[in-house]
Amino acid sequence: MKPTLSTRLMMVIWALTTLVGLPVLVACSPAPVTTSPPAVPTATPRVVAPTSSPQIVLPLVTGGDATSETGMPSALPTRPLSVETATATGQAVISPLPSPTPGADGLSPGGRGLPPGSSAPDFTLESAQGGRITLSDYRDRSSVVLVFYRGQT
Amino acid sequence: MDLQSHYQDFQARDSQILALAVHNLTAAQRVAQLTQAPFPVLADPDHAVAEAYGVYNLLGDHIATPAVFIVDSSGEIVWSYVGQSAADRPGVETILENLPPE
Repeated sequence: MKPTLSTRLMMVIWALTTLVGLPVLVACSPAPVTTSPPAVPTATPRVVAPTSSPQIVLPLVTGGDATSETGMPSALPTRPLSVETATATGQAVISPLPSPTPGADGLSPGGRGLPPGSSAPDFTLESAQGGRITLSDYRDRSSVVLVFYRGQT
Repeated sequence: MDLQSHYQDFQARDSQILALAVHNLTAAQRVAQLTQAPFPVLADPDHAVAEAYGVYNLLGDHIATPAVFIVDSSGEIVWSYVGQSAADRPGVETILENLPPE
């Protein structure tokens, strides 16, 4: 059993040595425990490896800046935004359209009646109570209220 | 729009109410009888006045849109209300509030 264990140990150590390198063999050997300090230099190359990864990250960041400078990321959002703006503009254009439509149906040119500030067109009409009524005959009054009736109301 | 029962309020403000209907005189007389209007009800049979004030056929029904114009002593329109539907009329209080000061 003991030879088997040692053989397995040897194989593991050999495999580790082949894959990782000499420092593992040194660290695994029971006798040179003092050589564990040399394991620190082993850590040093490992530190180098992480140091290299930040170096890789940095060029990535630089690449991101480069793309932003190119305008690639800004161009992508700008296009959908412009589409949304166009859609909003289309809705804004559509909404005013219904309001002219009733005016277009009517025969009156004003659409919403004569606005305040315009002079009231004078008229003379027959009154249901008899006689003829002229608007300008009421100039001596403070005001005249013209009420347009509908139907028989 | 119960102008009849508020007629005194308009008289107190020296304001004259003139009602106009896009009807012949007979129909206007019927309206005057039904409403017991204490003010003149004028017949506008060829809707010339309604057209001049821009309220004819706005709703596409070939009669005047319910509308109110306040004309001051100089003959200028100082306030107007043009209904956007057959039942859209201003309240009497609203009209009284917008009468020009005497």
